[in-house]
Amino acid sequence: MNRYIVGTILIVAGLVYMGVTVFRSSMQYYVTVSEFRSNESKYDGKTLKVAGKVKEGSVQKTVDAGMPVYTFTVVDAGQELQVVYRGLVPDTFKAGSDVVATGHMQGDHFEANHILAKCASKYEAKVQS
Amino acid sequence: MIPEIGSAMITLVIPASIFSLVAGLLGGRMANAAWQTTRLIMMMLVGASILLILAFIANDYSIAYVAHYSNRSLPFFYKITGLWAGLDGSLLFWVTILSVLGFVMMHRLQKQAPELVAVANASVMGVIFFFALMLLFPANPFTRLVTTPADGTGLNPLLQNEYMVIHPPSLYMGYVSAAIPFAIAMAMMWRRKATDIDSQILRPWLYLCWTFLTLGNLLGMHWAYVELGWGGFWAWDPVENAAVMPWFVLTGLLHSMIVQERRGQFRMWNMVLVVLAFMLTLFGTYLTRSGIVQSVHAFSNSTLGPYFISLMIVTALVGFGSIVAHRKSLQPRALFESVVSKEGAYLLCTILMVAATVAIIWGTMMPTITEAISGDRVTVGPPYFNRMMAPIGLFVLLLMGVGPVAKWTHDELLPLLKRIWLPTFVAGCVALIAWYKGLLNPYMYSAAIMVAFAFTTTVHKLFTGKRRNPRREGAYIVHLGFVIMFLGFAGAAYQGERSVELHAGETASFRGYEFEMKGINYWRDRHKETIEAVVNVTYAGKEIDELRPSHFLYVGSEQPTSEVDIHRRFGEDVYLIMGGFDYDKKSAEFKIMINPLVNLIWLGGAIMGLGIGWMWWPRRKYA
Repeated sequence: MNRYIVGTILIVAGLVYMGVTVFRSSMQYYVTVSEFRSNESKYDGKTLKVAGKVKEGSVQKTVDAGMPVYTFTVVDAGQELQVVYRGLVPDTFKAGSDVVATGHMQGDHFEANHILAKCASKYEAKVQS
Repeated sequence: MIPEIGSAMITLVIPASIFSLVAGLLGGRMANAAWQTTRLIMMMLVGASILLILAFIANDYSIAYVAHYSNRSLPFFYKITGLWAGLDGSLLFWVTILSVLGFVMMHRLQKQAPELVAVANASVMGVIFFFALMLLFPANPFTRLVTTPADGTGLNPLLQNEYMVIHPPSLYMGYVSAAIPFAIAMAMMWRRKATDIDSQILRPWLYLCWTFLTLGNLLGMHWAYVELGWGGFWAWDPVENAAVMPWFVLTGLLHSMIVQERRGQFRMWNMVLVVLAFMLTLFGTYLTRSGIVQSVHAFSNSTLGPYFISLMIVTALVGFGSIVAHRKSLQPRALFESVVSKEGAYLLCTILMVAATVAIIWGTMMPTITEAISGDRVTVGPPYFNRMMAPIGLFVLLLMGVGPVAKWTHDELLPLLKRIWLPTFVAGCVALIAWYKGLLNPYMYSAAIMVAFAFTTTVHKLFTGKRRNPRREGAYIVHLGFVIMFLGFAGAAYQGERSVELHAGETASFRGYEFEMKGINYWRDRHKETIEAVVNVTYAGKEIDELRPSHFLYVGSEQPTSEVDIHRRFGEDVYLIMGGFDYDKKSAEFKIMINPLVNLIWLGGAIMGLGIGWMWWPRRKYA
């Protein structure tokens, strides 16, 4: 029976090891713009998610080699972050909407490769009696 | 009147469920009153659900829930689905299904094994009690608004889809029906001191639960693919994870229970899985209803947390406590002799299924736990889950190739290897051909080999069975579906996408396809406004389709929704999403996606359904 116990422990240990390493290598920090600004060096070179609001009047669209490029400012608690995103923005993306950009810092701006936007949705707002 | 009657019915369920629980356990002359009360509870909950649907149909916007999830322009069809469109109603729907299933269970047990009725009924009543408390206090779907609005806010346009009618109910059926095996298992432990998974009492419920969980998850995947418009079918969103976790545990249980039937082993392990499956459905319901995790389709109502946590603690105490109390009668009836055997394959299978579940819990809950400990919010995306699931999936395929030919109790390695010469040969051929063709993506390469291996064994076993046995044949058909589906999952590694902006008359090309923008159309009807782009698709100089991705703006909604258009081919889908557009300039942004092998997922799913149907199909017993 002993070798089954050893075998089980080995399998479990292997799975835990795999779980921890895969988790560490694929985890991304999730910060608001102000949290990001207050400790920028910590996130240097890392892929992270940055949350904030799209600043009114900051959205600019250009086309680069046939591909739409959006440049906009994300604000949160008085702090700002310039974001550049290539690709299609979701329907919910517009000035004033809550946005979560996934990407990394590149020079002075945040290069996003994924955008999640949530307008202040009435579907989520609770109608309370 | 409707809300008052509805609230009254829910209120009555609370004392009634306690009465049925206690009176049933006391037994004797009280027992009959308990069974009548169980029937009454079912009728009251079904009645309350019908009342809520009637309130939707009658546009009774004095009820907060109705005002929130419906409006006058909502098609009739979707008013009925209002019952499960939101938090409060979906909880009512949940407990209504449970009361119906609990009644059916009681009815069957009275004929099959009367000694089990009391404890099984008590377990179901306990769960109903908790849900009735939640429905009455934090989540009453019949709560009135102070002022009645002239019109409701309407149903989220994303939910206005045919799948809304079938996907949530089948998932709920799967979730809720996990409570029945739990209840019966409790009764077997306490009243019989023996937990036999026989074909009459327990097994049909496990199959029922698994069938609906499978169906619900598949429908959800297909819905996400055709409707949500991001080109994928599975995002490892917490809600999806919640739905798939009990599926993994049950899949493991469906395999390890065979060992219990045949050899009398794994008896305790199977009980653990029964309890675990039920707890995971509660956990899943909690995860999606409490707002504890961020999710696209999670409702949030933090006040529900304490109820669910109490219910889960009680379930864990009762479930695992019962197992510990009856550990002696759960001892295996035969010795586990060797890993190189059919039992060994089944054991590894359930371990992998539980490992997959733990990996998913880990990835889903770690962000919440990390934040509580260090204050850092971290997330893991699909890459974590894909990298965890891929090796587990490949190992499962290996077992599917070897397990069916292994002998019970004690097999020898060398003869076993000889018996798999054919699948090994086929897998080897696939490996060589794939190498020659330059298929070098390591994930796709290993998936192709393992799929060939498992596929060969499955087909071989399917057609060489000596005796007709619908259960075994059905199981192999399900295996076949899974194998094909796995190839579809692996194909996602070859997915490609490109974003472009096109004016009318302009052309873009991607992976051999040419996309010519023809123009933009606009019209409105009673329910919505529509903007659609017309795009001609040509492949190898031949026009193959005209795709019309569009945006809908529903009446009463400020938020447009994207409608994708898909050109389906056997090998790959051409998936076209329209982004921003300029009607006057006749220009629009598009995301072009090529999804290789994605149709194998739906084909595999259909084959799985066929296998399930083959098992369920009523027929005369084979001699």
